[in-house]
Amino acid sequence: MNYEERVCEKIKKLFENYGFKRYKLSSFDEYSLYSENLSFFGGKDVISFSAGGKLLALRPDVTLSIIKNGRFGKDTQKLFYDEKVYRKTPNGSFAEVSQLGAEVIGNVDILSEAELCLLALKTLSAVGRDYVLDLSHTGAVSKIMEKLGVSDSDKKIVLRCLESKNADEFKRFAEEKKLNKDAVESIVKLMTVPSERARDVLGEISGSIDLSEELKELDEIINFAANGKINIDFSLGGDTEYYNGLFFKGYVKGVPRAVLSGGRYDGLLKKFKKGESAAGFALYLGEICKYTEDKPSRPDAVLVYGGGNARTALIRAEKLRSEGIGLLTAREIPEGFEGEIYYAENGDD
Amino acid sequence: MINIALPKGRLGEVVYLLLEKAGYGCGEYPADGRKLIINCGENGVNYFWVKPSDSAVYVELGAADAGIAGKDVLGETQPDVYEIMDLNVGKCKLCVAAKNGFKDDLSRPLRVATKYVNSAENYFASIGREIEIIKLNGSIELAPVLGLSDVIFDVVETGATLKENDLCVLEEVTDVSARFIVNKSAYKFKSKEINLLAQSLKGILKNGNIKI
Repeated sequence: MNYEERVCEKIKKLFENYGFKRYKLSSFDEYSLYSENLSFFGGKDVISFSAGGKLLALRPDVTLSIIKNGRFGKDTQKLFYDEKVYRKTPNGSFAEVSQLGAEVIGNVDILSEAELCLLALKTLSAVGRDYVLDLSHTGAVSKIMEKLGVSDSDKKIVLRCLESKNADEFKRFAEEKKLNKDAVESIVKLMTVPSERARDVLGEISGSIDLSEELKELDEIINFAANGKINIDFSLGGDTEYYNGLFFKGYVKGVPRAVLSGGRYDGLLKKFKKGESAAGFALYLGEICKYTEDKPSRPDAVLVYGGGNARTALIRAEKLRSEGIGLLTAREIPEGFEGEIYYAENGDD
Repeated sequence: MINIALPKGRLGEVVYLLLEKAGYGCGEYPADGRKLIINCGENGVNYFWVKPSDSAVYVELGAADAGIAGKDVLGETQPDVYEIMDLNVGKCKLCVAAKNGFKDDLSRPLRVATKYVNSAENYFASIGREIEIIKLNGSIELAPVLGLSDVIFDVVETGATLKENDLCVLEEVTDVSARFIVNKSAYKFKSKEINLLAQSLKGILKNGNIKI
């Protein structure tokens, strides 16, 4: 097994250990599903093609397909998937990326959220590198934006500044637009505060903007899943049309982008009239693999056969394999082969 | 250790001097343009000299943890990075300029010569003017002089080149300056070192008389 397969197996076992059921989808869906919901998965483009008079697309995101196609009864569903998605890379080309994820659909409570964050932490841990999980709350960000009192188009500018921690640009913009000074100060603090002080700053902000519910939620999760790897960071983004509460992203050392993304997405569920609340996350395992050196898988041994009896060689090879040896049959010893060497002809080792 | 991408040329050298003043020097002035990597392990930084338009690419893709990039380049390429400080050096403006006496003919698309294709498209779309882009990589000012374009969309520092070529600014679109940018993932694992460097730079910028 290569690195990707090993990590994938580990994570799937983890999901099963938490009672999540496997969910399998087809590779494509209607183009409009993705093009109309690009901001849900932070996408910019999808690969489309026409088949049987329908415009279809190679799936850039799994959650959208699950929500659109899934039939959810009264019970809360806990599902996981292991699929390929097709996304645009920063250099503009499309790539196939492995995506693993877990979803809770139906009735999401604080226990489900905390458990999901714990599962996200364990998923990141399974990758085998140092990792961090950053938490944000789109509900709290919306309240702060409301206090700022900006138009929808200006809100986009402010959110872009927040997502890039661009305090200097935001201060200039706020001065030009004469925005509420207290709210401006709060946002600047959120942009510039080191992660270890973020919770204190939110506490201070809560004095003027009521964030008590959101903070209670974040505190519960942090206290439950505390392992020193969770931070609060409100610069994560998260489209408020879909995400309405907890929002998080995971990073692993040595990979330049977030490799895990998730949160509470009641908005999406309601848009498709599929229930009240949902939360989930996805791990972009393919992204991690791009930055991971993996030893090519090699057999333990080689059985070299010449022009002799093929049947004798095959019987010998099967016998060795039945003893648990990973065996390659070859006419010559492969160049640079470092494992054990057997010869079919003379029967010696 | 923080790996920093610096833009080759005058701006990069000024920023390097700022970093040196902030305590992140390497004991050698980076005048030798052929040496592309400077290691200063004792101060916890490595510098890479890169093409100015590429520094954001190095940072976004994680080859460098941090870097210096002009707002013109950041606006054009929109990289997914943290833009944590305006260094207030390398100041100029993105402008629309044309030959003196130019009158816009609204009955046809405006021909715009630029290397900032996305920024130009966004700007003209925001004012509802239909355009035809002519992508050039340098000597943009030549385009209206030779009739290749009606206007140019480019950075203007002092305006001297425009003046010498009988051109003038029609519209100032946005202010440009050098920004300190950081890779999002690197920031999660090296935030203490990066914040310390940013604070030191801020201190130097506040107290020093920096001229460029």
